[in-house]
Amino acid sequence: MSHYDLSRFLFKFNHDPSVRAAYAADPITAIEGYELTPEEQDALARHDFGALYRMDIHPLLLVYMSNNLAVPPDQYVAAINDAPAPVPASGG
Amino acid sequence: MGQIVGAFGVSHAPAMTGRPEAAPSDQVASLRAAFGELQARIDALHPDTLVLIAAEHWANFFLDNYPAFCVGMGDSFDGPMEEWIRIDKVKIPGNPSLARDIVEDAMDSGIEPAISQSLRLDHGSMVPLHFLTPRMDVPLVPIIQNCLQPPMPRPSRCYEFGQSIGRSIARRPERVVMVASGGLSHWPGHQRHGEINTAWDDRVLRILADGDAEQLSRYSDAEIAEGGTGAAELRNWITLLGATGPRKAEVLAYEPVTAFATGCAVTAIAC
Repeated sequence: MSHYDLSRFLFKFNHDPSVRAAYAADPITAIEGYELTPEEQDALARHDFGALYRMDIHPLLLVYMSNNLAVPPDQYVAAINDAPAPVPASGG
Repeated sequence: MGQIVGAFGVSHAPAMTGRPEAAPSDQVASLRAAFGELQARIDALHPDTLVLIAAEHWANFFLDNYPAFCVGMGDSFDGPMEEWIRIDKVKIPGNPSLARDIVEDAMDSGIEPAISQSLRLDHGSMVPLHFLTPRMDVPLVPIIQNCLQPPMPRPSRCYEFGQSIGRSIARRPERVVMVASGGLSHWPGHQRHGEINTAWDDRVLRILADGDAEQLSRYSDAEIAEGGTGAAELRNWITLLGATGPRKAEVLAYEPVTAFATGCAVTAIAC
């Protein structure tokens, strides 16, 4: 379920200002309760878009996170282009 | 008897309103002039309702439940979801009666859309509405099609759904403007972000100009994918053409805008 839970956090982050505020205050605490691998926890807490992209997270979940964090578009593009190609998640 | 008095296919790149200053001024001017022309035409048509065929980008639906088609049956709709597209938040009136007839007729045709009383409108809807009906006062029936998460509805099915929508409009009293939102070629958020397949865009626009809607309805997933992941939104144009029938399109503007990472088009379908 970790790919799903990773996506689910991003969906909530992009929808709920209180989730964004909690993440800004303490990202580690904000992602507690989600079924994530240590690698996923690390990528999410650091909003490592390259790593998240490689985990086959839908790019538009990532783009919305980057916009909500006011990450310049060029920086987002550079981050994902530094990453290897996505590893397809199971379940389509 | 109701009728489709205007039909338009337009792109919805969020940077068109969020970051227009990032693009060459001549391209922005071309697109704005084209949108301005369509806004004037829609104003002159005095439509009773606007039926918007659009995609959404995780604004409403998630992996737990993603419908192929969803008809907005609410009394009103709020948008935009995004602060960063620089469109003021607004509540747009709905047309629940027409929306319901669209659903009922689709079901009688063997298509079961999902229904929603409360759709959040994201840039896929709000950017076209901003340009085409900036007062946001034309009652709206938003129809969201899955152009985001595979597997997606078949283009041929989208065309059939459009045909059903056309029949619903014909048996109602309203003068309806239809808008298809999305495309053309783009790879939003992907490693190919910023690429534009101008050859693919040109082919689609030539098919539209020739009025060969059925050719688009036969596009395979592979043919659509040549235009990028965002080209999946061509489904919305195909649905609109199902409603209008095979009419020729006028291309008011086409600009491959690297800064918007999209081949942006503004078109009018003959009605």
